[in-house]
Amino acid sequence: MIDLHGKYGKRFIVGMVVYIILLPVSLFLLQSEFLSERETAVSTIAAVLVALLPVVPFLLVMTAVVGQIRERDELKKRIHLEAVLITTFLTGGLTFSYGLLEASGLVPDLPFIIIAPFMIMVWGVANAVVSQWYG
Amino acid sequence: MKNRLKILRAERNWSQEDLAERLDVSRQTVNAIEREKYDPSLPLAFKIAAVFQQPIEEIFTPD
Repeated sequence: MIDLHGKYGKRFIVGMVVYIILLPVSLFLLQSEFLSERETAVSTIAAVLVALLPVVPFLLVMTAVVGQIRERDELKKRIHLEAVLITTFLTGGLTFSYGLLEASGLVPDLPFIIIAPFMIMVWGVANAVVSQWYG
Repeated sequence: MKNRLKILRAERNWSQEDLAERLDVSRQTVNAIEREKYDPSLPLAFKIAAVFQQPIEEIFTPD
């Protein structure tokens, strides 16, 4: 799915490593007295920035994946397109359906944070399935 | 679309990998074209014709 060699492969690895480091750092800092109490506008803004720290390497990973797909040949691009379409419809359909059930009070609320890992997982599976179909 | 890629490749004793290298695509792409699961773009079809030194219509025919 992702080739870990070359310019974009290295960028992907760097992004993932920085993400793995920043996530616990961000969670740790948010527990500090200054950021957790948020008594001033400054501490609130600082808390928002610290909470969003892991998004920075996420953007790096995104540019690495897009850059790598741009360099692929036409069939590989088609495989990625089909995988992304499957991921979009599956995630959209499931989250929309769950949202309807949630609004009706039939199921418990789920945090938004699970959507991104779910999408990445579906994208990986869809990529493997579509790639297998083309042989 | 039907094609004679596999025959033309076999006549030259080329592996799918050899042809992929000449066309600057992946082996999977050559395999998918040969199995008629994927129709190449016009630029790639022209490239295939150039590699085999044959007109496109001699290699690809409509279903």
